[in-house]
Amino acid sequence: MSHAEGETVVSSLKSSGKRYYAWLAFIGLGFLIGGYGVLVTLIEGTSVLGITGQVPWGILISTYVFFALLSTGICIGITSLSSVFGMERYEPLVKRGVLLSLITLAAGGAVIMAGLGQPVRAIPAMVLSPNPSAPMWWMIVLYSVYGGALVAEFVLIDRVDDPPRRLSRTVAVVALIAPILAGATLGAIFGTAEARPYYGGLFASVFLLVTAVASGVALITAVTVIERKLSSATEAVVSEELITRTLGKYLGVATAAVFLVTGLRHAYGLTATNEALATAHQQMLFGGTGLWAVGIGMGVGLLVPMVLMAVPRTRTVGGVLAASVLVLVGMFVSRLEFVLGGQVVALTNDPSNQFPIASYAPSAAELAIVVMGFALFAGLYTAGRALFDLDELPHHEEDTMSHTTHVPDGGETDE
Amino acid sequence: MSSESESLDAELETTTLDGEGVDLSMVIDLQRCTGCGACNIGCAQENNLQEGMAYSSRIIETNGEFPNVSYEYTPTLCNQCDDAPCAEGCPTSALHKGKGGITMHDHETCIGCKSCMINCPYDEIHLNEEDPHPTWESEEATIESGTASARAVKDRAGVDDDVDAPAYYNPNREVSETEHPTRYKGIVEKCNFCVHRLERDELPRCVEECPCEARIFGDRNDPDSTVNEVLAKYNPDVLKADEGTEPSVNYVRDYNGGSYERGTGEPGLGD
Ligand code: SF4
Ligand code: SF4
Repeated sequence: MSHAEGETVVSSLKSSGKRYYAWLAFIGLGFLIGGYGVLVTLIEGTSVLGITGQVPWGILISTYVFFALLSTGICIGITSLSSVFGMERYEPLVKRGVLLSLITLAAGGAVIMAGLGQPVRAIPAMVLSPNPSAPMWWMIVLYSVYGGALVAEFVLIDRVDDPPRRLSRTVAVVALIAPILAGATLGAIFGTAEARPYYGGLFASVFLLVTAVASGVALITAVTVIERKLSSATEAVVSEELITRTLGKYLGVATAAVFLVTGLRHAYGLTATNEALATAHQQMLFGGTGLWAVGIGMGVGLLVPMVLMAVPRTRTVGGVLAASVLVLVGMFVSRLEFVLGGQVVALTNDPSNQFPIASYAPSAAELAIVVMGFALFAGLYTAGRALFDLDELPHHEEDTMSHTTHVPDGGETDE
Repeated sequence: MSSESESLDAELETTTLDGEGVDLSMVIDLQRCTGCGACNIGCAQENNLQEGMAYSSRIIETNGEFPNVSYEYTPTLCNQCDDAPCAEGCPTSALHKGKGGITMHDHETCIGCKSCMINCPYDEIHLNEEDPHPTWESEEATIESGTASARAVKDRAGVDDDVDAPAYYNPNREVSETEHPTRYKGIVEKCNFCVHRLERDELPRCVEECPCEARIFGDRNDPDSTVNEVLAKYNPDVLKADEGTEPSVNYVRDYNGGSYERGTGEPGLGD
């Protein structure tokens, strides 16, 4: 249920301390910075972005991929385990997970719209002049269906006391299949670009879906751990076991899987006979970008969290929080590495272009739009937690258990 | 006009642009091309291209070390690929295969997503990052109180801003529905074999402009066309054939043609 009956937004604001206002001010500042980025791009054109003719996709696309796959990953990796596959231990994460999926999708959508040359005509053109042979068109359609399913799923949990089980399941199944397909078509946008072998062809979809799950698990874990510290209601439904055993181990395994596919991708690329492919991998790993692509993307973002989660002593609540935040930071960086890697090798030796390596650096306007994406995410989540009781458990006809009496068992089968 | 370009002109007159099975193609004879760049300049003029934008360009390759060096100049333009990945991946069908097999671009449905730029293996799609001729809004005069600013010229000429004819209006491009007399920001653009000229039975500007008649243009599906004659006579090549895009721009008579072995300066095999 929403907070409307008991606690209103105003009262929750009043009862909050200075830190809460500081947080709101921080989000407000993010919107101000983001607003500047969006406006200046709209007025001046994409010339204020760091993209070039040779690197037409930069940090805005990678941020979109980051957010869209966070959304995808939460749904595939966490919420559907409970809502579709009936794994009860994930129930306390479902409502918050659905909301997080929705707002990450919204944040991603806002960032990509801001980077389009003609954002105003984007939706009408997709509807009136569709191209079903384009993966991008399918991705938009599938993410729209997915967004609709998420709204329906949230409404069913929040508004309907005893939703018919069949309806809940149908919606949950749509909210599982749509993001898998949407994530796969997002991969296909890159994978079908044959001129850019760095994206890995068919492998792009698999790679992005695996990484999506890891990032989704990391986000919901990080948010839930923070919420447990802030709210006793969350602490009551989310057991420490759920964090340290179930989510901690899940994060460890997902991170290891990402490490493996990332390693395979680079090993294959570096040893490829295709010169452009090998050069792209060399450039991304050992060129100027290597410092962050390898250092943060793989070291800080994958290796460290993997170790933190593998060692029982560091798999504490604090350790899990640290690991999930590191995975998120690493993933943000890796998305940029992925997007840029496909464009780093110049396609032709046209003397008006850079050759053989095309460079890119994000501009102030681009960074401001990225800030807007994060501010939107933070703002929507803050509003969501003020408006809704995110600790509510999903209930269905036969099983109308109240969450106050339900203590989930976290990962009893894990050890 | 020489007899060869006259015959290309005559061929064009008998070719119906939207006739069934018409497949417009260009062959570039690399032995005739001197690398003068007249095609690029003509194209920029024809299409009102601003600095830094070139639908017609070139690839340059130098190999070896002095004194054993080779220098190759290959004129480039959109290949109007039969299997065009740019059109395949365009979410709004702004890029599509149009009449004569040309890869057409509709400015009004382009959303500026740039996925075509990712998909084209030849870097032949260009983004209008800002309004192409912003200088026409400039209030600054080169010599204060000496010369008029661009804005003043525009005003004096009575050009109404928000209607059809800003100062960089190009009526030539108005002939076709698919081209725009004015160009604007936020969309991509590319060569379309000067479809506005083809509509008037004129050859693409780069073909007309070439002083060496290195560009041969016509219908590939007309067995008697000069294009077919040249393609049959020589061993044609396309750029990045392994991409499988089936380009409609072919190259014949590679300038290096195996005359010298690369890097040795010695006559190569087959000479
Ligand atoms: S050369 Fe590039 S822009 Fe032209 S048709 Fe082929 S893929 Fe499209
Ligand atoms: S930038 Fe325009 S033409 Fe290119 S794919 Fe996007 S909508 Fe199509």
